Amino acid sequence: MPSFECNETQFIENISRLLDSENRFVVNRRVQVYDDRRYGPAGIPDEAFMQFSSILTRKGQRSSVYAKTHFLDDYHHKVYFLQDLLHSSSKLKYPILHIPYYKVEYSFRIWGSSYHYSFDVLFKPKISIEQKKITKKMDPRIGEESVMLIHVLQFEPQQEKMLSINLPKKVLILDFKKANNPLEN
Amino acid sequence: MFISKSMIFSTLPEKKLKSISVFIPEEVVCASLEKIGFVQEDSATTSSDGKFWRKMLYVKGEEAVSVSEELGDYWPKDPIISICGLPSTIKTILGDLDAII
Repeated sequence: MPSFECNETQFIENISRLLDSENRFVVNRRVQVYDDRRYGPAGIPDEAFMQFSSILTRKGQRSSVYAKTHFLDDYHHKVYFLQDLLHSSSKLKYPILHIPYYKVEYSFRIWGSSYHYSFDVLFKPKISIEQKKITKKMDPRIGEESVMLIHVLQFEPQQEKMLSINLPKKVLILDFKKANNPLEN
Repeated sequence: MFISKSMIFSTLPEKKLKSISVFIPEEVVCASLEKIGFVQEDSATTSSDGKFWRKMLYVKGEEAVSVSEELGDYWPKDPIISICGLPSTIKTILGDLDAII
């Protein structure tokens, strides 16, 4: 079965044309959380890196990223110390600090072909200073368990409205977890 | 004559879809949307086609417009505008953008 990859404009315009032609079809959607080191602080553009600028430093995109201060990554329960290397420019595919994200996949099938559009939505970083209990599990360099004031990095999931394409109510959207057809996986 | 709510709704035109990419700076597009009553609800960093984007969601009642602009140093800027709204709204937005070009 032919399978076509679309960008946002193509996918939405295709749906619009199908609606105008009064064809009946179903749009499938899969939304899944990933935390597979795909996105690290060295790879993101400056505008997105700015959100981390109170705790991280780098010379530019694709340069090594270091900790600017001690901080706790509350999402992964890890503590980093001043000047720790968090994403090396020589190992861009293997960030030490990584950003979780939602993978959103849309597809529909018509006349024996399927059309796909997918995008990733990165979790929003939120940095605060809080009193936190720091344990040995968070980093082997920690001697004793203690409670301290520390910068805390949290990753907040995006709201559902940011994970979807806005479609008229008459478009039937069916959510799914896994496709059995290997072509759709 | 009694007119029920459902009768009023049934006469409203259906929402349509439109997605375009325009060579107009994102700030100008957003200002144009705000001028006709759209309000920014949220924004997110997204990634697709191997690029990073800032996606902003504008809402006015039941109508929604997303504006996605590629992040990073590149030129020219051509944000993607995806509209799910009434035909009259789509016409107004496209007309406003045409006038800017």
